[in-house]
Amino acid sequence: MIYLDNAATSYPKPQSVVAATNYAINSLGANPGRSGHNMSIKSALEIYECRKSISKFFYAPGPENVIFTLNCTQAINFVFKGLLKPGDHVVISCIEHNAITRPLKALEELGITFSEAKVYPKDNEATLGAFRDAINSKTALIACTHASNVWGIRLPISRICAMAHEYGIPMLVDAAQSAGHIPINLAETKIDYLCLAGHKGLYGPMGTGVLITTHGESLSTIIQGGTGLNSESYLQTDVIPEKFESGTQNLIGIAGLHAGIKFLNKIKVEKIAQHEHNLINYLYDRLTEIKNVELYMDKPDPKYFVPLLSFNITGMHSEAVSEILNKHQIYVRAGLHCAPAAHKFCNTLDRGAVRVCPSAFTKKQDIDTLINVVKKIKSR
Amino acid sequence: MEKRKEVFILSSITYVMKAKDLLKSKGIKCETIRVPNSEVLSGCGYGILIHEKVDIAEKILTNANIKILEKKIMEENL
Repeated sequence: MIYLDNAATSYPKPQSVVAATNYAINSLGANPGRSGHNMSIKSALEIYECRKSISKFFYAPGPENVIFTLNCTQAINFVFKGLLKPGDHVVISCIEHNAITRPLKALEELGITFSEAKVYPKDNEATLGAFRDAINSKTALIACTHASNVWGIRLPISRICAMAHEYGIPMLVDAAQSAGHIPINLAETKIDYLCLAGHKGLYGPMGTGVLITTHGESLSTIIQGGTGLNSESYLQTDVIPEKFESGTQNLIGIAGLHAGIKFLNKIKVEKIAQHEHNLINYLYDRLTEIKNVELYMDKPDPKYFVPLLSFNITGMHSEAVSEILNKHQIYVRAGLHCAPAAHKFCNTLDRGAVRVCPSAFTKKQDIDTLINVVKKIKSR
Repeated sequence: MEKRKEVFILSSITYVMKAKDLLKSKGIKCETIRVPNSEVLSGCGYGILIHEKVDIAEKILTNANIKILEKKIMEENL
């Protein structure tokens, strides 16, 4: 089996991640932050150590700025629904995932509006200009993906963030597809809300996500409940990060995510990204040699792209191509990738695209096998 | 050598862990403990038991912007 669907979730996970989850389920079985016995304290310590690792990994001010969520989508919803008020306006890009567009569409009922800024691949100046032009007097947030989950296009988030701050506007970054592939430094970029998927480039288990923010105190909660603190009060605690973490936490997932971060610290993000870019560029070159393959972007320069590649075969729906690949035990993702806006951008809404995303564990022969199968697919 | 023991009640388990990290890095012995009922917490929560150098520990935490909600002298049966 060849797994090239790492943009959906990474597989396989490092053995250290498997071991950490196994250890957590067997030895950290108590509810963290609830009781005073040793195992509960030990469980809480594991969560804290993971917060600390994530905080260091992204250069956040401290572990208390790291909020665990179920996934990146939930982190984004926490911000949108905890921050935005009727009358507010949000600027997003024209290639967003539904994790950004759907919550905003739902918020239109409350009188919150949004505009899409056009993205110009490989032209950061033009993209920045489009974001600037989309700002109006009601703009309360700029929210955009760091990298498109369909086309791999990188947005110049540091520059967009600096520009947003010039106008006194906070910035949310959906880093689901970039974390673990591009180093992100919060101390330098000053991103206000960084939303992460723990189970993709960070190599944690599914069911893990993170919101990193220094604005937790002023952000309202959308979920309230038990936190193990201030139990006498009916009012939600205002202490971060616990105020956003009502209910029992996914300790097993968090322990796995902690091991995922350690794996990245050991191997280094830059080295993994280099490996993945080499594979994607090799794939790109080989695909350009196949007559009936349609590519939509220029050769993915790491400066402007994350290591993933989407293509089509002339006359075929992407799902049909994926089905053939599946028969050869090559696992990719076809269709719209929950990002219709990104497909609209390249006029692929009618048939989607076949997305290939390697990981640290992908080998060159995996890509060769994919290429050999693609070569044999005849256009219909 | 000062041997007074005190419990610092902090706002959350995360801050208790952070405080513990910090104090241990400065060589001060301390432990996480559950605080069953505290007025400042409106119920239960967590604190950090400081075994030694209580005043120095307080200074370190204050300098690190870790808010101590309440200090309790450790009693034998606590």
